[in-house]
Amino acid sequence: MTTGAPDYSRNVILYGWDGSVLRKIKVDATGQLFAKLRGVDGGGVDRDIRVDTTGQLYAMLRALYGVTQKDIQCDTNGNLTLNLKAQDLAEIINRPKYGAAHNATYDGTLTTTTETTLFTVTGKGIIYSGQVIVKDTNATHTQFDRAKLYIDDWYIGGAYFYQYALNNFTIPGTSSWWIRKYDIIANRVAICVLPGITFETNCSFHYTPYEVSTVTVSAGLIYALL
Amino acid sequence: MREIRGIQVDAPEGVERIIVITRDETGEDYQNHDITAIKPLNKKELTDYLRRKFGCKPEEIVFPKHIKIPE
Repeated sequence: MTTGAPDYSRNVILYGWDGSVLRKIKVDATGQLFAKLRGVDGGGVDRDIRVDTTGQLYAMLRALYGVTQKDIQCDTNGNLTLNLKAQDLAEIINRPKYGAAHNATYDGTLTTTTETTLFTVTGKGIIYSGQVIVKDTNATHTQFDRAKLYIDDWYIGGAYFYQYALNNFTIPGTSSWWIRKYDIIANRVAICVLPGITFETNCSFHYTPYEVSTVTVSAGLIYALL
Repeated sequence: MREIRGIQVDAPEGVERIIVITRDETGEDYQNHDITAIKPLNKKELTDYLRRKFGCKPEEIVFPKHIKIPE
């Protein structure tokens, strides 16, 4: 019976086994059970698990890199910093980050049938849009000129203008190039490159006139680099 | 830290122009620099230009492997 308490009160003393001796489990002055938690470190030594000055449990997380333990860190705002190399999420939404858009251009005249590099971009990036506009009032066969696209030093595409017109490649996505204007009377041609093509090392536009003349070529490329 | 992102060689108005595109280590600050006057264009000359431009040390300029520039 508990002294000073109603006779229906029950008094129980709890004991814990410390490994060799039974010891009483205590409560504080308000009757709350309190405990000092301990953990065993990798070397088999008991160590206290601590709280901070506000009583909050804190922990320093560690992870194994091979056989070496490394601290898991946070930034100055307390955000956990992560560098994910693999993940098992069903899906992930992300946004590839490219830098600001750039514009490469060429304006000039070609007087030989040699293949000429109009412009070159070196880097990793993506094509947003591009076009080659040709005007040649002297030539009789501008339709057999070729604008060529090279990606990572590989020739991607660039048939005779005549073939694009003949096969009605006038819709974006039908080929690496699609023709926008084809006027063999005035010898004016405009051909556009497929947007969205990515490159890993470089991208360049080339032009090859079919016959010796004075071909006026204006070309442009809007792209972005990683 | 300053990273080379790309080099553009083109010819607006029919005149050759060379632009180097760089960014800082945070990826938040992008710059274009007309380096047409640098001849010959190689890693040493480009390093000297960027060192003067940004006041950074040569070892703080990053040349990615995929951008081939003569030594």
